[in-house]
Amino acid sequence: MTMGPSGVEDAFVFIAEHTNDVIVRVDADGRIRFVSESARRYGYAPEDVIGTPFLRLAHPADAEALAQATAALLRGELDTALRRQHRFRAADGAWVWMEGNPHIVRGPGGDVVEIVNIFRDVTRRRELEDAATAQAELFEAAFRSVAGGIAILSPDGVVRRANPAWRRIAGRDKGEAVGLRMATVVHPEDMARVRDQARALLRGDIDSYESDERYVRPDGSFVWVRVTASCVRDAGGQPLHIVSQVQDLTAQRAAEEALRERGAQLREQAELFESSFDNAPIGMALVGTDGSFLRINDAFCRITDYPRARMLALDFQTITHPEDLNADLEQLTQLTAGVIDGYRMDKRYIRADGEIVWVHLSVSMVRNADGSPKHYVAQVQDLTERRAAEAALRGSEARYRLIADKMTDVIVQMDAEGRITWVSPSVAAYGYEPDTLLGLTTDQIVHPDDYHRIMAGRAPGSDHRGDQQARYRAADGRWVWMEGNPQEIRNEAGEITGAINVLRNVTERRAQADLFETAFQQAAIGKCLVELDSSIFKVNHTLCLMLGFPEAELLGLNGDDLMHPEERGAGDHLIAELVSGEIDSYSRERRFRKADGGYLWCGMTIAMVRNPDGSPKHYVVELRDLTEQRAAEMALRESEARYRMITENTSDMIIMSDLSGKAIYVSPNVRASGTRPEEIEGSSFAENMHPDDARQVERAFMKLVKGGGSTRVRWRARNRATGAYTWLESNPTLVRDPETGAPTGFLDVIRDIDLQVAQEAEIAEATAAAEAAAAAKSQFLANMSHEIRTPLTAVLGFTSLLSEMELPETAERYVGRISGAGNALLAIVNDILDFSKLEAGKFEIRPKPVDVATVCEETLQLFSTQAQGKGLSLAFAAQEDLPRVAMVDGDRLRQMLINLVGNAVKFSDEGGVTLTVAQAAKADWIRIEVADTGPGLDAEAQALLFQRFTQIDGSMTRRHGGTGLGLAISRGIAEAMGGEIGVTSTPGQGARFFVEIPAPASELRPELAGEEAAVARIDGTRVFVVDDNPVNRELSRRILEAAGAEVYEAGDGGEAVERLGLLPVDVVLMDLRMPGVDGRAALGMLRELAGPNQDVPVLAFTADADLAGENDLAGFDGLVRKPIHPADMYAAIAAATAWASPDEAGEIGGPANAVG
Amino acid sequence: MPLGEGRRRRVLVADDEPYILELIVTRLELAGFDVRPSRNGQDALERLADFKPEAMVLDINMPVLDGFGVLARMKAQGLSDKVPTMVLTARNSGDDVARAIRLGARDYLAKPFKDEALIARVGRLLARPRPVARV
Repeated sequence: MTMGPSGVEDAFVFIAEHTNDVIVRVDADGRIRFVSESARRYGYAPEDVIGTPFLRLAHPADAEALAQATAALLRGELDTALRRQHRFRAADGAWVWMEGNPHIVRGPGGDVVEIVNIFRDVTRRRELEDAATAQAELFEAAFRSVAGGIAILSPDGVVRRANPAWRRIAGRDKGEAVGLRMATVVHPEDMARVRDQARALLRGDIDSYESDERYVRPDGSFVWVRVTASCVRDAGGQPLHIVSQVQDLTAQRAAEEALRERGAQLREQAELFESSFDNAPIGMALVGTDGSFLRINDAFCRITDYPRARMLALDFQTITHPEDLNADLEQLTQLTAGVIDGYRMDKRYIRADGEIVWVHLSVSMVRNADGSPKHYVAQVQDLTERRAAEAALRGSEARYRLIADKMTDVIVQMDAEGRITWVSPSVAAYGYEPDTLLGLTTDQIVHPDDYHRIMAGRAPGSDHRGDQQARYRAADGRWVWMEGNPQEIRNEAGEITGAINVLRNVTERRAQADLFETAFQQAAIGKCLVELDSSIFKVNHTLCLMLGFPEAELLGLNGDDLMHPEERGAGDHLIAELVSGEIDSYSRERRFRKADGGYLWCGMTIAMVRNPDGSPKHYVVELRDLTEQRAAEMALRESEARYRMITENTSDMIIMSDLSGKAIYVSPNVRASGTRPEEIEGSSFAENMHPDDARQVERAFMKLVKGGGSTRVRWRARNRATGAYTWLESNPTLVRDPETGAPTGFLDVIRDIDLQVAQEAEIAEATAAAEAAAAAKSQFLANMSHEIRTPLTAVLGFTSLLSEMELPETAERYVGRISGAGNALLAIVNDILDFSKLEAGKFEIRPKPVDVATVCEETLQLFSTQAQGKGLSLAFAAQEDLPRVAMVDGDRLRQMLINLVGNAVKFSDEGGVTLTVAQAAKADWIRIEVADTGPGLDAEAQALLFQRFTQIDGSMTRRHGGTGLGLAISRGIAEAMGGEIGVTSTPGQGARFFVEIPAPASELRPELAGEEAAVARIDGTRVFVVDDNPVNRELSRRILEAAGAEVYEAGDGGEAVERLGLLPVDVVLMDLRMPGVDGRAALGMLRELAGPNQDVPVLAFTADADLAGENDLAGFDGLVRKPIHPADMYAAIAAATAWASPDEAGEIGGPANAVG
Repeated sequence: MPLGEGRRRRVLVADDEPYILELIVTRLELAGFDVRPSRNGQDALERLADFKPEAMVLDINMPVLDGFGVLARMKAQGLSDKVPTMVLTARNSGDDVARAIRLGARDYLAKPFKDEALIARVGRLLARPRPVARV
């Protein structure tokens, strides 16, 4: 705070006039002492607010905080640069958020004089910030809580943000994720494809894309993910960032993979078996060790004429001709015992139609791993076909044996009561000895939960193969899923005698199916299976929740029913490609109808499921709810948009730079200057600066580094686009390190002032033109006056000569007329000359000690004759305690009063004129009023009154005469004196003119009293005062000018000699003791110097104490003592310049230098 | 205004304005000087030799040869000290005064002037005052 009060004041006025901010000055008592004009914006007239306690304007909730902040500020605890925001009441009661920037102003003693606070209205800014914050929070919540992974990427593929789910999927810590390049995340084999898609997205070729790709985790493992990417753009369509949504596909992929693999295995086995068994050209049967048929092929059925189902219910004994049975059983026993490996025989079967058919039978044994008999394989050839089939048989036998050995199915035979009568040896795989199961019933080995279901499935008329899946207990207690294929066994009478069931282990298959089903049902996304005709046949729970339909209702719908009308058929060509196999799947964003009639934006993926032969089977449709994603994107876009709006709608450009001027941050609206923030960032903005301005701007900035604060500096910037220069005004502030206080850079708010500069230039030009015109006119007036005055001087001069002669009475009267008219004309010409001087600013005011009241009264009395002639009264009144003598230019005061009183008399036809003089409201000022009883003036006339050449109307000029300059000159004089002049009037009630001028009391009065004679003798004398003490010079000037002398001065002997060489004067007052050239030396030089003052009288101007004696003043023409006694001074000067009286002039002395 | 008995001091007055010239001449004659009028600078220079003035009142603004021109010739001829000269200047023309002083003028008087000032200044040109020192 090195600024003095007047410096603060100046700076203050400057700021107050140039800012939209509200500036409030609060005194030490907390009352407002000043408010800038900008307060009117909030409905406050500054004059109404002044004196109000400042805190009263604050919001009650903020008042205490404000008071505390102020107290802290006063204690020096609060950094003045710290800006606080508080609410203040506007005049209409609205609350306005203001950001204060308070500064303490201290007096010389360190006491607090006032607090100057500069408030900026941040209401709108806060609203925008609040809204943006809300949006940002909304987005943040969505971003964090959404189940899927979301990452926000820069257009060049760097992770800017990633939510927890994304980080989990990608296996990255929070710290690692941000700044990660996607090129290091995406599996190298997928990278090219991902990059192509991203480019297409950034180009705007596509709105979004979905891709399955692998993310590589830091540990080297990778994870399959499904990525849905979209692009967020700025208002100009430039990509701001990519929003990437990621779904972990690992589990799904693994399940699908396993399912596919297992299915393929099973299919392979089945195909192998089926093709070799079913398609064999001879009859084949798998026969249990008890003789029952486990499996038979078509050829066998054909030979025996039994339908497959009936055949399977029978055993071979039943259909073997009785005469051949024993031989067959005998062979079989040997085979079973291992005595023989197989046997062949011709035998007869009794066909279903009762006929007997001769066949050639070939039987082999399939054993379990432990060698125990498993079942028999019987190959039967109709002897009629025997030869044809013989070759084929031999080839297939070995192969079939192999298959039979591998069979893992368990065959169970039951009697009519359901008791197990036989179990195939393959049951050993489940830990059982077949014998241990004999006699048990199904309910004893089947899981209770499944028992009734499978029994219901075995009821007559029911044929639900799928329902025959049940859990069977293994020997160790495990439950094993088995699928049964029960067949009744009937006797010849058609009665059920028992049943046979082939159980196949489906545990693994069920596990996979469960896995699939679980994945389907529990998926986070909606899924459904759709037939080729678009009918929906399976939906998951999520989809029901998403669309709000119960499952049953959805199952009845056609896929098209759910599509938005605008999008129906939009994907037909893609479906066609899907069906034709050109693509495996596709994804689009689509709207789907909800139960409530609304539509839901979904990310839809459709894939094709095919039959083993490759033909289309059905579609798998996945729907992902995009509401959250869309909301998040929308929130993001809005936040961006609002932020942009804030920064871009600020007309000021904002540049943050380091101390070297290198830009660190550049607000986007530098675009208006034909550049882009990126171009300026990192470079110095001086690069575009006009070379002529660089030094000045640098100085201004450097000054900030030394002195802090802020400043304004103008410079021209070259528009990079057009090359043209634009005027800008920088308003830089020094930025300091908040910790150390060391300067770190500048915050520069730059405003385009091109228009302003142009306007200023126009105004300056117009002003210069007007001034030139005015000067020319003044010069013309001066010349004219001079031209008029020269002959007028002659007229008056000769008139004066004439009046001194003895003239006839009539002639004397005429001379009087000429003299009066001539003097009137001279007054007019002098008016014009004064006026041109006023205009040229050359008007001099010379205050002298004047008895103001006397001047006023004498001036009034000048008009007594004129007033009497019109029947007007003249009245004078002076305040009693007025200082008798004041320092005023009496001549100019008289000139003003002559104008005012002259007008008053001129325009009043009755009544009178009153002149009063009194102390003005301001100390050491006087107020003089001239009141008349004339017609008065309306407001319009009052406004015009003091303008040059203006009278109330032209007719007045003609009627009353005058130049019309009187009041304009009076105003000029009043203003030149530092005072003012004005009028109050009501039409019809006269006018009251007033003059207020500074009139400090003079102390010279006592000395002046009684010295009238001396004063008269030095009137017009030119006195040159030489003194090194300015107080003495000033005092001398006042005393001498009071007596009508012309005073010139110099501060030392050298200067005096130099000036006196060119300026003729009548007398010199010379101080003796002066630094440099002293009084005696100066006198010597003056006498040596051939010039106008070589012989001028020089008086010593000194105190007695400085004189050594009478001889000490050798060479001087006299003495003026200090301290000054005016009367003595006047007398000494008068004596020194005493002149032979004019009547002696031509006679005394001889010619000093007669021309030879 | 009575005229003195002794020899009257010779004063040359140069002004191009005939009325003003006549007025000055009349005033100075009434004050007791032996006055010769001159209408321009060239004429004034010529009269210096035959009239032998003891002082000169010289208007600055004149046709043919102006006041500065007259002063310059006088200075060149060493007449500046022999004929002390007072120039008549327009108001507010301090530059003219300095220029005239440099060219050898002894005093100046701004137009318009009072009769008393004219007579006093002309008297000063002719006789150096001898004040009584009161020490």
